Amino acid sequence: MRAKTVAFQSLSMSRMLFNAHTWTGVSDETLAHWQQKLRKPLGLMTKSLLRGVEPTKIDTMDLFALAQILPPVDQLHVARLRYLHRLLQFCPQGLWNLLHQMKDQQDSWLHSCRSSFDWFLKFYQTPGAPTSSSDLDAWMTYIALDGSWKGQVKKAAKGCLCFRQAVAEQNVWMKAFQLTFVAAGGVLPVSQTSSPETWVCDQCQKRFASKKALATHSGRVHGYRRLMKYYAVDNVCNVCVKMYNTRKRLIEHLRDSHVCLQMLQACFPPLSDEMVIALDAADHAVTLDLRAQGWGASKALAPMRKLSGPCLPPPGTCDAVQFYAKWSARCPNSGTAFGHLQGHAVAQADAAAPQVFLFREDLPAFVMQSASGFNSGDGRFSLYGLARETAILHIRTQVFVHFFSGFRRRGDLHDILEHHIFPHGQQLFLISVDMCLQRERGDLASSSSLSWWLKRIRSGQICGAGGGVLLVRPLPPRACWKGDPPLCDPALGQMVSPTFHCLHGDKSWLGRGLCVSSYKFSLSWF
Amino acid sequence: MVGSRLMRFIIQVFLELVLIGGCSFIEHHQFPLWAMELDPSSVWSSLPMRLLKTTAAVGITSFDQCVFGCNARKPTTLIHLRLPKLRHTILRAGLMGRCPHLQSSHEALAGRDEAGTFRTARGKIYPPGLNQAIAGAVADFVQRTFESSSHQQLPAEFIDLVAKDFVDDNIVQPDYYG
Repeated sequence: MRAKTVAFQSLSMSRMLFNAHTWTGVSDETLAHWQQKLRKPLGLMTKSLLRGVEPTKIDTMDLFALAQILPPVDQLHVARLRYLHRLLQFCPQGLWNLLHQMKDQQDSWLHSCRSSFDWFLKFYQTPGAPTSSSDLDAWMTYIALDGSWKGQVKKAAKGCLCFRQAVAEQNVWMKAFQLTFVAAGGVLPVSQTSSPETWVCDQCQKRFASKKALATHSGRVHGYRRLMKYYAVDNVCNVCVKMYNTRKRLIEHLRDSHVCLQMLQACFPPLSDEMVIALDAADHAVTLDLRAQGWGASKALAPMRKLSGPCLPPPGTCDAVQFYAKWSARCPNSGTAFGHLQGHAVAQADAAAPQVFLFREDLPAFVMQSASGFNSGDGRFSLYGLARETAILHIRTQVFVHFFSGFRRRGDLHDILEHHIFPHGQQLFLISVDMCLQRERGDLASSSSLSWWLKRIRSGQICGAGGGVLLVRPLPPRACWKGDPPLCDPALGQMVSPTFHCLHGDKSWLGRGLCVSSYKFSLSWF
Repeated sequence: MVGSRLMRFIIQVFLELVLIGGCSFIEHHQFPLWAMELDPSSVWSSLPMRLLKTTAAVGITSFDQCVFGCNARKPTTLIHLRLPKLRHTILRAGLMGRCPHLQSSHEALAGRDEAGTFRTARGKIYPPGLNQAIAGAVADFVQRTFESSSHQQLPAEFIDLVAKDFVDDNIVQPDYYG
């Protein structure tokens, strides 16, 4: 994995982000688009870490983190902040004046530096550094005078990667947990914030989760093809007079350039369905040829070239109408399959009745008491019945494992159960696994230890297990939350562990005021 | 990260035991209602716990450990799998598992004691009544489920994990001693 990461970083990421930190107006959409392009290789790289979850179900940011690579959005911040230091040293005054004149514009370079400063503060905090409310001049002064700026940015990048990895690990585990839960007959909740729409095909009344899924279905079953294909005859755009490497790249151009597509629609009738099918077949052959060479389907083996030629009349003009009429007379058999995407969205509640709800508002009541569950599953989730028969067939040795941290005492759970006499001659064995002392199998945080214990359970050697999730310990003094009010339970008089903050993927630990050293210390505390 | 891994470990073990028909319990301090406005992250508000709770074999019971002999009130929540007797025992203690004592009768587990140990360290030790309740419920499960045992010895691979070095009740383990 390490070798793959280095190769990927140097071959793909550095090429993609080459000098991007000097550009203006790199939007979030652009970055998301770049990230999306790298999903496939990342999915292949991280396949062994996904616990059986399909890469398509994992967020791209998580795939980057699992591959131990900073996502493009973070790499851009790092590069921009490092470049800023050099800029302050070597940039001529004239260029600075120009940059300052445009600093209030949304797509200016200095404006994008603002988001980089916020990113820096999120993942690294040092005394004396400007805050998020500081003005641009304060930041520039600080960066120019600070001799360790490069190191600080490096530490922020490390902290960011550490945080993203923790979140990715949690998300992947959660997906794997849900898969197991559903495979066993459990029912996942319907979130109130989930997508409220379902798409219904008007031609066959089938339901789909998204419009994209409906389009795929229509393409396969009802012969739907995208509108752009009906205006791409070869590999030249007749509006902007650009020649692309392949027709497929021209179609991508028409997808992105609405102006070109509108002008083509105004001047030309759509191609016939037969012609589009023939052109698609030719494209398919080109795609296979490219794949055989190891390239993607839309690889630009040659750059786009600007040609010279006559311009088309603007849409809505008389010339455009005449142009369209002449072409219609010449090509009477216009295709219509692009109109076969016929469907409508319906509300989720109308589509299917949800079975399990989890409400945010009922949280206290939900977590405090429950007499029993409301999902009986396929019997494996029942209290007795089929579950009891499974246990009789499956469990061969009655061993109960108590995971704890502390010393053994007379009268503890282990001691009581060990001396319990069963009326029917059953024999129950007890093991108390101290997480602090028994390092090999007691180091429950390691994946090897987890698989060892799970293997024992699945092979029927353990009939039960229990213990505390985490033992209540006060925070180490170095890892206090600077910005937070103290989480001290007045009833208990004890501090509450913040360790589970990392479960909340949308919240940053470091955003709460921990520096990297404290953050790592708190990670290693438990 | 390590804390989350430990939590994932115990939940994964819990889920496996759900599937094979075993019994289990997970104990953790109660959801901090006093900090609701801070939107605290707690194991009880996590999605896996809430999913597990929806199954018929699983129950969640909150109680105060002082009803079992703990010096502090120590509000605690247990998620238990196929241990109905545990729930019955807890709800029979105190006021349906809740503290019947005066507020002044509890010790505050704050700061350090004379020996320099965190007072919360003593709170980690289960009170005798809670040990009895859990042990009784596990014994009840084994008795109801299995008619007899085919093995009369602990499997060899677990023997290294057996710990029999008992300490006196007044000795409290340090906060971290690994």
